[in-house]
Amino acid sequence: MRRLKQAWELARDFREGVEDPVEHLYNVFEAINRWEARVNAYISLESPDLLVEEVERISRSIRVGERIGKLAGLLVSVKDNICTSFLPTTAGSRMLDPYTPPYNATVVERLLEEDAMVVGKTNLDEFAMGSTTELSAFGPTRNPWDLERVPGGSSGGSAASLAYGGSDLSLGSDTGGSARLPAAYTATVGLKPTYGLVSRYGLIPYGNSLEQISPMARSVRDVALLLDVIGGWDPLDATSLRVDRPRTFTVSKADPRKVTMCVVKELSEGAEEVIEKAYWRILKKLESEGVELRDEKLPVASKALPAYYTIAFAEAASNLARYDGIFYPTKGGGSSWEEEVELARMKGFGREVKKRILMGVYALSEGYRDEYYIAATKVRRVVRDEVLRMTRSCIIASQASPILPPRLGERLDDPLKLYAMDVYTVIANLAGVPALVQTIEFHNGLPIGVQWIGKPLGEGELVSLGLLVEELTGLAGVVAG
Amino acid sequence: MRVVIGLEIHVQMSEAGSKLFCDCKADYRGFNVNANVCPVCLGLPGALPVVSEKSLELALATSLALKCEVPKFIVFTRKHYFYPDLPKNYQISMFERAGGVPICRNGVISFLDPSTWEWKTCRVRRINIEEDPGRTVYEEGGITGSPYALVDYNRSGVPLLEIVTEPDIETPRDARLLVEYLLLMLEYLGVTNPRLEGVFRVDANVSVGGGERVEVKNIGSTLDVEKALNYEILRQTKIREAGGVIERETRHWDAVRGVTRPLRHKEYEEEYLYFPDPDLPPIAITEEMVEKALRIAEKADLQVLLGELLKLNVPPEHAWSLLSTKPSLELFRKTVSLGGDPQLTARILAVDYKGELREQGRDPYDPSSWPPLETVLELVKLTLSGVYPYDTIKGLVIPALASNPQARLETVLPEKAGDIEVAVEEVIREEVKAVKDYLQGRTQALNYLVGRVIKKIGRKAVDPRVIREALEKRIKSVRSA
Amino acid sequence: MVECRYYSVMEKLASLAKIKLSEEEVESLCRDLERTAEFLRTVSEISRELEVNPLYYVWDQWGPLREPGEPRTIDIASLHVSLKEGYVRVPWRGGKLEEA
Repeated sequence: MRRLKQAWELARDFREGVEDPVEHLYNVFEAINRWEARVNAYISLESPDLLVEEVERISRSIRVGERIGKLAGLLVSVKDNICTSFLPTTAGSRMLDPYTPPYNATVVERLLEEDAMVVGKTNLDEFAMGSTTELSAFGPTRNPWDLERVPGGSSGGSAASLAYGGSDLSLGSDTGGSARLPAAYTATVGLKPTYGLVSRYGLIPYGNSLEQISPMARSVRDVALLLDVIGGWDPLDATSLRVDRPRTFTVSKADPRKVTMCVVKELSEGAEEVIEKAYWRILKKLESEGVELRDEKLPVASKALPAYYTIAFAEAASNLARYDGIFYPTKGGGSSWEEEVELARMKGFGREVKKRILMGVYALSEGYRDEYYIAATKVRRVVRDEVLRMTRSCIIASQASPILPPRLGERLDDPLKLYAMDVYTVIANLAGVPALVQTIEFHNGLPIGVQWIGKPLGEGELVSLGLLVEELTGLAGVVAG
Repeated sequence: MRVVIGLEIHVQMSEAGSKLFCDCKADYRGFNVNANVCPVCLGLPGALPVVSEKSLELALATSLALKCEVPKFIVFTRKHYFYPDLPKNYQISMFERAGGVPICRNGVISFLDPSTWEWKTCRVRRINIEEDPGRTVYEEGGITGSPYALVDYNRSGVPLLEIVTEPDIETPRDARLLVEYLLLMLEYLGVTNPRLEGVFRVDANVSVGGGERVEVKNIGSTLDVEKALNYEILRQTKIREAGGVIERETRHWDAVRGVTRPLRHKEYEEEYLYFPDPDLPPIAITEEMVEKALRIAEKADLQVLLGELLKLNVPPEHAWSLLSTKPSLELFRKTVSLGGDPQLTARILAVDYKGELREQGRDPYDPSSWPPLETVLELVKLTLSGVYPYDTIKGLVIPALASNPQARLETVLPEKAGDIEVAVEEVIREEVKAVKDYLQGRTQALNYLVGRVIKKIGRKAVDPRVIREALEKRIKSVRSA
Repeated sequence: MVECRYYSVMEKLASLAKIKLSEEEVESLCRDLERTAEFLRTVSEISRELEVNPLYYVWDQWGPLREPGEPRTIDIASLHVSLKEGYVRVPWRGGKLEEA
């Protein structure tokens, strides 16, 4: 199995003059040239000339001993639902093709402050609505580990760019598992932060009470490096938590004897046999190292998926109401106001997006809101309270995906098949707590992941556990090919 | 037949500094079209609202001034509908039945009828804080036929107070008086400038003889409040007297033609898909905030201010005139605090000076139309001293000041009687023929003589009547000599 | 084939969502909606027994207030708008925008 140096090691080696950032840039270009045509991880790429100019500037700064940012020399790919003023931001949709925002998302500003180089904008299911990255207006992204299979979604482009070495770090987003499922399918690491830890200013919204911009990378420490840069209070986001920048990069690997893990029944069963076997293997291994395993039950978990989707659809219908063609590239061509709007939305949105909007309207409408939307928010309260109670004293162990990475097209013939892929991940979005997914094994060349769910602002503990697991699996830094 | 009126008054918080959710300006007049806009008030993807401290403070002060029940926290909701001037195609407001919490419930407004000096009351059902949409302008054909609509988003996001009364009002005149008084209150609270164009609008609900209520929208001035209601009551009364039935409907006030017209009947009951805005967590109304707002409300208590004036023996009409023209009240209070005689000061400011401003077409609400404190104080003392007759003060000095408020008082004072006598003497000696003509009955000769005296005195201000008197007296005494 | 139960509702939904749907789209979306609604409805079964308030904001943290700051004005012409004398021009009754 091929491994690449971890991003934080690279950054350190750049600073110390042991590695050349210019050379690294060319290596990444090479990977992109080799893979991108088949994988389609990127919707747009930054101009190579601009990147060369930028990396040479950084290289010079290092040589003369100037102060450089924590991410200097590193290449970050950014999911295309995060606003950049220097590259188009399409949300994977015809509606915004091509739209260039007049401002940068706060997280992008923070990346740039630390001298990161944004190498491109990655592909996603349209408006982040999907679990396989097959529903983009720009074609599907393929899994570098097996090009006939999906990389997961909706942050599939981010995950794939990491998996073939086309970026060092990546920003994805996670509304119901969108950064974690792709991590499981591409042997990368995805962390959904505590709700409010990372600013959403500049994240094109889908389920805005559920989602967070999520750091993704090929190793746990890399994810921590990225989280520390992007997290922390933002006055431009009223839902952002009033906390300082996180400090998870320097946490040490967990002492297994000090770890208590709740193995939640409903989150551990129901997966394919190979996955279940791998899951129990890692849990047993951890137990043998001294981790305390506790059996737990979460009965309300069986309703988490429909509750999640009800809320997500309702918020989607609301957040996508603004796309009426006036400010955006896809026009209706109608000759009355209503016609213009209806046609623009007909042309600009893909089928899945339309479906979710209609479903969301239904869930919020006068005769149905109690049965659908209100009911879902009540279930949400119970889920949150249960998860909070449990995570006060342990980290929750959970599956990441019920299935191995499916083939393209396999999950698209029945809407419920697509939604079912999120069965283990939505709970962390409903409860607002952080969750990390990392790889534990490979099966016939396909990655199998596991999920750890922590307490609010417990990212440090998740990172700490993740480092331990990485040591046990030896899978940090793996790349396809 | 018995008439029952309720009002819904939307007032822009023009003095709030910034828009409700972003830092663009709350007073958008004076900007070029679409020059007071940003990602938030344009609803661009990824932009997020954050409530302005000042807007909330002013809204809270209003709430306390209207003796409302103030909540422990407020919650904003989304109201969805599609319109060109509503960028997000939802308006952020406060809808109670969907989880919203308004800034005021169950208040009361006591308003004055200045002609009868009667205080009346009307209950306030609630006050919402919400955002104004942009402004749509139609071309040829107006709202029903214009091929295009033109939108200016400068107003989008401006903070609004929606003040809804119970149907406690009994006459159109009372409705007008209430709105006038309310606007005055809001002016003193520092919430709004009532004279800005379009800064408020009123929707009125009226029912006659216990019948269904009709809503009249689009009332844009206080005079129109009375006019529209008079028209509507007459219309309804005629129908009832002819045996007809009034149906619940919404009508539009056409100020140009002076009639109310039915609005187009909607097919579906309006469905706004209300739910609490996920981007705006509830905001606490702390004791500290209430105290601060209470201080603002107390300083702006019109009844107290009026009471102070009456206690100083200022006649009620003068008191009301001062109060309703804020710059004059402030000037009055300062003058009196430095020893100015209250009744005289009130008369000079509220009657004479204000009347002169009207005559000259100047704006009595513009503080720069009024002389500085020192000048007013001097003038009051001077008037009291009797050196000049009141006629002179009123007829000469005040008009001169009104056209140049910054002038030093001595420059606008006419010649004293003594100085005139010298000039009169000289002119009588010089203008022998004119004097003879006058004695022979030609009264125009006197005018001529007055003119000669004025010329002789030079550039100093003179009162022609005083000169005329002096001439007449002197000529008589000379003649008898 | 049995007609999709949601057919009559679809028209209202599409109108509220302001999305024009073709005949085929209505057919196929209707079936998807039917399946999905059935799935979502399972939530209401257990919520009826739950005596809790709805949860709208995941944390019990009060929202912040914004202190005065500088406007972050943008140039509206940078968006995909049709401008007339600075106004954003949209079709209303009869006008058409030039295709982008």
